Amino acid sequence: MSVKPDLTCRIGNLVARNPIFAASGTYGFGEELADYANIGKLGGLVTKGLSLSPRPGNRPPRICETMSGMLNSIGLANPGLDIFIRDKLPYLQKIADAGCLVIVNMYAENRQEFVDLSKALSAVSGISALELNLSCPNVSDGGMAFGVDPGAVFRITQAVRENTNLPLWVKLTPNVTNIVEIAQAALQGGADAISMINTLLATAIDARARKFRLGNIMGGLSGPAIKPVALRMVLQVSKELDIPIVGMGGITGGSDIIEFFLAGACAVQIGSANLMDPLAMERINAELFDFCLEENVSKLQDLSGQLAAECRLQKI
Amino acid sequence: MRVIAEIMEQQPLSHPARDVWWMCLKAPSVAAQAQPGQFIMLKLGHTTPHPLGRPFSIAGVNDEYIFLLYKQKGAITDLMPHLNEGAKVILWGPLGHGFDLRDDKTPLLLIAGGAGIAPMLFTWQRFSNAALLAGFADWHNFNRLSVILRELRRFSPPIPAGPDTLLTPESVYITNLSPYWSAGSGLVTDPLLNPQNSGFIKNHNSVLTCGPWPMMKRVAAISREYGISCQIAAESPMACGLGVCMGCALPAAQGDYLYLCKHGPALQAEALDWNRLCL
Repeated sequence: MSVKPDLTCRIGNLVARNPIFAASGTYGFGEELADYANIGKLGGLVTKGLSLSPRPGNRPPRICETMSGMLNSIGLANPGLDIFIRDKLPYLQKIADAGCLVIVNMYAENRQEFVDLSKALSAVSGISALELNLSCPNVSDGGMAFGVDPGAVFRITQAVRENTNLPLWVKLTPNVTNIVEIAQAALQGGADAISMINTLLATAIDARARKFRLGNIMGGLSGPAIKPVALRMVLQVSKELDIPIVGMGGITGGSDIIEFFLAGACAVQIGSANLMDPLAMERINAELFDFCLEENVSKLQDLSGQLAAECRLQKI
Repeated sequence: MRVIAEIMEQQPLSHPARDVWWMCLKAPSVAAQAQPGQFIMLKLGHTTPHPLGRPFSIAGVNDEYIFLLYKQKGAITDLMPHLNEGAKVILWGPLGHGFDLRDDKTPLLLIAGGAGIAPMLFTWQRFSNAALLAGFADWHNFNRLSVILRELRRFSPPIPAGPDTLLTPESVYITNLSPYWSAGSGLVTDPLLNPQNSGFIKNHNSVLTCGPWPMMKRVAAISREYGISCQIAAESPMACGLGVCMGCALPAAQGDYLYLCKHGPALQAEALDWNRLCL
């Protein structure tokens, strides 16, 4: 008889009841999906990217579907810190009490704003960790520049580290030549974990209208189309660095999670799949459980980094 | 709520053309809550190369069934006619805000353009004293409309309407852009510009419209001249329909943006900044 698989996972000092987190920007602040999904079953939820001041977002159209994926150029539209604390946090505190880890994703245009945000968020209860968005490709005058420059990644991470006791996750952009170098900068700056990958910079064109399909021209590609890129990058970082990796990029099924674990992740985030079906995470969670039963995986965490370790041994 | 819905029936809305379809789905919990102007997201499966759901206006409700009207114009709508009776789809809704249909808003004058007739049909189904004026650039795609009207409420042969037509309440009028159309040729707004129809227009407390943006802009302007409230049902690319992706932004009159799935799809015409819309 099979033993009930143990799906709990550890990301640094944080323990989640299962490895499935909602990715930033695909689950709002939780409440939006309260009537639809059983949020109580999630391992955790990463909030919509939060900035100090409200942001209206980019010029529409902001969304378009591409083959096995989608582009977005939302532009980090969000209500800002004050409204977050007043209107959004109470619901998040409620689900935190129910055992769902709440991670706040932070976006800022300079180091001081990151510091101010992290101080304010460290002073309230219910938040389990902070995730630094150094990577969103949508905003021409901010995030992109930090995430591609190891020096900037180090400095921002360090500045936030000095101002919070919360676990600190740094979310990496894939739009770089050497992902290991960037991850190392985050590690040296004091990151407790790496979230990877954010969306790939891309565009789409309507041939008949002879126009760009996004108002912002360029946006971020996500969905199943990017999974192989994400797996490759998780593997590269996992092979070289000893740091917890929260993997993401195109996960739509339970076996995708296994793949990310084998490449080196110790937890995952589900992104676009949430937009494609409000019950995606419940289904993926069930599929993961069934997969582990069928394949006699008694403890999911044991799979983490198995293939990365093989690569290291064989010096690939 | 998010449900698995069963396709009960599909029929083309025209003969012999088969580009526009009328679909009946069994979705009791959705049907019970649906209001005119609201929409649903529909998805055919989990593994298609087209992973996003598609928004469809609810075109009518009967008992535990909802009706959709769709035009084939992309990968998913091209697949949909091939779904047989009994096929299952993923569906979530009803979503967004429907029209404001409080008592002081009636009687209603409904102005539709092309496939924008979908939410107008649901409204027409619910309000027996509403007049419906629908314009088509491709009437050949909609020429079985009277069959649908009968299915929804009552048999009502659409009356061709042109600039000289005198409109009367409780009738369904159609106009057609085709130059080969003998009666009722022209824009859907043409009969509204005829001064002899001003009495008819003034008898209505709101104008509801759905169709191409330039048409809705004209309808909004005419309503404003008459001092009658105008609500539009808009469309915008979106991913989730639930207020999460923030994709369906439209420029708001007060600056910033409105989100179609949350504040709409039915909106007061003056809530939008028409100058910032890409028409």
